[in-house]
Amino acid sequence: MAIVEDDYVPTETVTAGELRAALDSLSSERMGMTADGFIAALEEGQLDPYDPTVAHLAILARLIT
Amino acid sequence: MIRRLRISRFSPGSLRSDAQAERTAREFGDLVGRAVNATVSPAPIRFIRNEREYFDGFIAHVDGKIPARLPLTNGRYMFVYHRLGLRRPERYLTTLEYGYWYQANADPASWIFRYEYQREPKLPYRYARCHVHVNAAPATYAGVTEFSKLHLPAGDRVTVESFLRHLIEEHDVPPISPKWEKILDETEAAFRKIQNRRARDPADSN
Repeated sequence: MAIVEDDYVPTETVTAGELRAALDSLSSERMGMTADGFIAALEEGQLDPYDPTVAHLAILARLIT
Repeated sequence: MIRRLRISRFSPGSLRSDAQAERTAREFGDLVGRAVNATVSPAPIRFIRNEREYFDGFIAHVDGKIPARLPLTNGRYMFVYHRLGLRRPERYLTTLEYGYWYQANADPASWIFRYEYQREPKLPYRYARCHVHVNAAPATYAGVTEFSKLHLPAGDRVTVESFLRHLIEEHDVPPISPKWEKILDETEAAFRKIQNRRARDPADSN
């Protein structure tokens, strides 16, 4: 029987740059704003945090900020 | 290769190094993946580490390296997301936030209900940290706030297993494994064991 201790697979990592690029792409596509614009609008209370698209993108934003 | 899940090992306590934390987070990801893959979706669940100066990461189905919704066996979708970090001087692995969404299709706007938890919400925050939003509007509701925006309290913590059971039992999502109930009992017991141990410490009761 195989021993689990030896089946090491490197953990995938994501960088802040990759997250920001993903947020940039999604916020442009869905909200017509850049990642920085989305983060600023979210922090200033200009977006409805209960809107499902905003709530979804806010998860990405919290991984960056 | 035979991959055997070591549920009994997932009671990590203090994690002195980031490597230990990473390994434990991956094991937690395996636990969530086993629960999801035995029940409502064969889509893989992964732990992705967020490269920062401190330990940070998330467990989810991913598109690229980004949390993404996943298809269910009934043709609908869900979004399952756990963000993990280390807290307290003892460096316990902790869920900082989670979200369990059930939605009609791949579009987030098709959400039906969503459970959410935030351990450290941005203050001021006057809602239940663990709550559920329901995309509905009862005819008898006369409040000012849209019903779907209410943070309906959902106890201390909703486990992913209880969410998965609900999908199978009440939304008729066909289970993948005939042993799904036993598997959910096992993975949920592993989580409860950790939660109960921490609840004894008032400094980390949430």
